[in-house]
Amino acid sequence: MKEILFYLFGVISAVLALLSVTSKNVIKGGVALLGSFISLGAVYFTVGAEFVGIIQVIVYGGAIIVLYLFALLTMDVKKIAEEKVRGSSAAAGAFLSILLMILLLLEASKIAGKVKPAVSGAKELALPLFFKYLLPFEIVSILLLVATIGAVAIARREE
Amino acid sequence: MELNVGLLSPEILLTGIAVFMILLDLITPKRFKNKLFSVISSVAVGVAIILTLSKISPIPQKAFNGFITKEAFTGIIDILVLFSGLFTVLVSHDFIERKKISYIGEFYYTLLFVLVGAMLLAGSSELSTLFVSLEVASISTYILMSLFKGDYRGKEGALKYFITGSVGAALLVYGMAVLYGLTGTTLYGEIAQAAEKLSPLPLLLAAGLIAAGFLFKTGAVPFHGWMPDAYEGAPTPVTLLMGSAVKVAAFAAFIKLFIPIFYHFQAEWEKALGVIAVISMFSGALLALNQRNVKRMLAYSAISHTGIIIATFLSSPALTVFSVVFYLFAYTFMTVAAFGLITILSANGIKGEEIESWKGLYSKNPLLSLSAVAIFMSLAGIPPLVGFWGKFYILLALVKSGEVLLAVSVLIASLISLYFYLKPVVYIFMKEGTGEKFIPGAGEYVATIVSTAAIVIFGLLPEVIAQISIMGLSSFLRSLT
Repeated sequence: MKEILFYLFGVISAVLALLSVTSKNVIKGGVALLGSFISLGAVYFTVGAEFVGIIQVIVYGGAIIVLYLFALLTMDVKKIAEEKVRGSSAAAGAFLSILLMILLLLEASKIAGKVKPAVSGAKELALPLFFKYLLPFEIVSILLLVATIGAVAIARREE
Repeated sequence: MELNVGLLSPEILLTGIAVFMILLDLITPKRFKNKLFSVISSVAVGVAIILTLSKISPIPQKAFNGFITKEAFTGIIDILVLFSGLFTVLVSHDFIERKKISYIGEFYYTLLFVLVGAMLLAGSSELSTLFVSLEVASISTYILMSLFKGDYRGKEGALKYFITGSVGAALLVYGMAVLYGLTGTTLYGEIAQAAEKLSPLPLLLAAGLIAAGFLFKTGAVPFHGWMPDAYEGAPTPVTLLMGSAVKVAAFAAFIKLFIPIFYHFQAEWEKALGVIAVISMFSGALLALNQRNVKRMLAYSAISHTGIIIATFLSSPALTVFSVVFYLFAYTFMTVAAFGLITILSANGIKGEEIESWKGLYSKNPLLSLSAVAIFMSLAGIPPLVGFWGKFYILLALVKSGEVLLAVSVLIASLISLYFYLKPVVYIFMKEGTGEKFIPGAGEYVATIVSTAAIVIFGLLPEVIAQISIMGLSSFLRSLT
């Protein structure tokens, strides 16, 4: 059952990712990307890394997609669609993608077959975070508090 | 797992009071805010000083699984941080009375967070704690710099400081990552044990990156670009805090990290650090010569002082710790007094930052003028003031370790700096200017006069600071074994 789900979500994720880069409509592409991220999160769940799965959905599905959509809102989408893609930038993009793919395949072939079970679960992360590294964790909360106060105070319009 | 939370009671107290102030800020009417919050903050810092004093012991104490180590060395630095925080609160009260600011509450509790960050920074003995507490101190400082209304110079300075500071933090964190990759642990003690068996080259990379990060924060050449703009642009009480508390804590953290881990291959990096020290002390002193703005001049002089402190790292570890503690002790009071003085002068209808406006100060306020003489002569290192003893012990340490060339350059840099420190003094005793007397605000007056008195008194009794520094040194050495 788990394996079926793994492959199912894997295929959905890949198809949606392909759709997101090929679709002419950017908003449709963005939604397809969201679907791809969420099904990738489901893939993590099927292999027992529920924590990474949750983070995947929250960070990519929540924050990053919203960031993309906001960026699209501020841009003139039609103008971008009319712009011609330059040959040199397409070539550079293709080169980088192929390079990245080779690197990923090389690394993947190294770790194939010796996968550690139950790694990156919530418990393994929580234990050091709330016991050994408790102090830095607490200081980070002070840091976030200060940063929030500062951001509000500085960014608010002066009356 | 041993937490030993009590060791951190000063920090916890300050954090608690700051959070309490965030809530209180919502219900306090605006006209009471400045008075109320300055009183709460100064009482909180005062209690924190007492708590820290009661916790100082020659035996190093650990808290939070060894993430925090507090020796007498850290205790002394904490006291210096808290004293400069107290003086900043006193100075800020009068400064805020005169300036437009809609964020009075924010100003005071962010100030307390700077102190918390600086104290944790000085206490940390683990890489991630070091980094996050450094960021608490720096980010709070950026915020403090940009809170005043219509103060675009402050916002510009804050942005510049923020961008360069982020680069510094990135370098530091990269160095930490290398160190963690090499040793597999983030605790200083364990890193030091593992580092002894490693070859120097990758360690040198880590040392270089970490040193670069700290040199950014302490403002040594070639990482000094932000200093003049940030010092000049920041509201003067904030400059005071940056120049004393944050800088002192950064130096303490640098010593605690650098000495145990990187000292066993001193020969590999001492040349590079020596060059940086010499260039810093000279370029700081030379660039200060032509400044018309006293805050800008003091920023360049701070670069020069940083160079002198860094030069000390070329002597032996024991001499380094001793003379740096001594120097930081002296430097804190001098910085507080100098920027307190500028705050007073920028108030009373005169633009205290411009050196021309200091003309005829003696006829307006003799006591303040005499303290100005003491402050600037102490910064220049004229006996019998405390600044002289600071430089004296650094020279002694350098000569004893055979670094005569460095000692001579410290001397020459001090001689050059005498010129620009004398300039304000000359202006003060000029006969020109109107003879109207003025009375400064109580808080800033007390802060300036008390710290000037400390300069004079400790200058006459240098053995007091020497004893304190030796106590810091011995506890520091004990924490290494």
